[in-house]
Amino acid sequence: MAIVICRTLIIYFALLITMRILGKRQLGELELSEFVLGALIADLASHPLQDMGIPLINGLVPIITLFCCEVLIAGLTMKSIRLRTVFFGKPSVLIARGQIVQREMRRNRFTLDELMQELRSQGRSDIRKIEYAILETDGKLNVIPYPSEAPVTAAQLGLPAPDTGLSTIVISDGRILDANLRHLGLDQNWLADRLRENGAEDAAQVFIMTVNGAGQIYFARKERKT
Amino acid sequence: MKREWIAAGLLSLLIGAAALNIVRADRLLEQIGVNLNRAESAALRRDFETAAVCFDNGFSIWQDARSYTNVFLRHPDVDAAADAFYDLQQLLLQKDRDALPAAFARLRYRLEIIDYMEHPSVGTIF
Repeated sequence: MAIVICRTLIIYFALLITMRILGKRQLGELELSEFVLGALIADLASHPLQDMGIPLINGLVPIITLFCCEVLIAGLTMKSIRLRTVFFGKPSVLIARGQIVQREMRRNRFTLDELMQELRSQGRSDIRKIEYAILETDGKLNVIPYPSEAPVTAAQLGLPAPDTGLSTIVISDGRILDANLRHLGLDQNWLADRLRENGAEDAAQVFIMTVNGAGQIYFARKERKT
Repeated sequence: MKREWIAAGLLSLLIGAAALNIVRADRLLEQIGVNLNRAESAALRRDFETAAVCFDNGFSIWQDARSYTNVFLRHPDVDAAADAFYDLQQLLLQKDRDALPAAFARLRYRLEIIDYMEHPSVGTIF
């Protein structure tokens, strides 16, 4: 049991260090420790299931150990910026004021093709128009255009932009979501009136009905089964 | 912070349980070892009745710990030790004095391997 714990800790930190050295581009959208945890747990859990000669506890102990490591590392990195840098690294600026930072590109093993692909996926192709492109610690590239290239907002145009708030589902596939209805400060009588206005006899005939903060309704009736 | 304390507590609990497991394995194998030593001495003196009694005591301790061994030890190691017990029992019943030392040594080796594999060391971890 003690050996299982020791081995788990060694493998966990070895993977963490390896993935840290490999760099952010390997991660996708997971943080480093989440990626390592995901890679390990899936394999650990399967062994005692496949091999009856391995006691189940030899599968459970590493999983619990990894869970504890993950929670502790997440907690410690929230408290300490230095520790966070050690475990997860720092965001890397790949484009600064319209110029590619080649040293950071090399450090992150990020190719020009990958950079261009990421930029295109975000609807940008002209590097000169990008003020900053930052490779985050989870491997995502965030692109910040120059203010002159940023999408214009209603505030900049001086146009009124009514705040309609969050749309909340009140009927989902024929079922009334009472908790959501109560959360919006509405009741069954209000709902019955709205159903009648939209030509439905009851909630069972409704596929989806949402209400936003301004009280506006989206209503879709269930299609007839053919 | 509550989650972190729970995780730290859980990890400490696991390490504590692992330490207890080492103590438990040591004690179990030590009790069996004492009985095996007595059985071997008696067998070498050709006192096969005493040897059988001491062997049975040791074997009973092993069998009584079945739930522990099945939960905490690798099953192939447990099976190998059980096989070594049965081989030795057979030789004791046959009163085969010449083959007994090797059978005792084989059983001891199996039990030592189990004990060794429960102790963290460079050899067992890597």
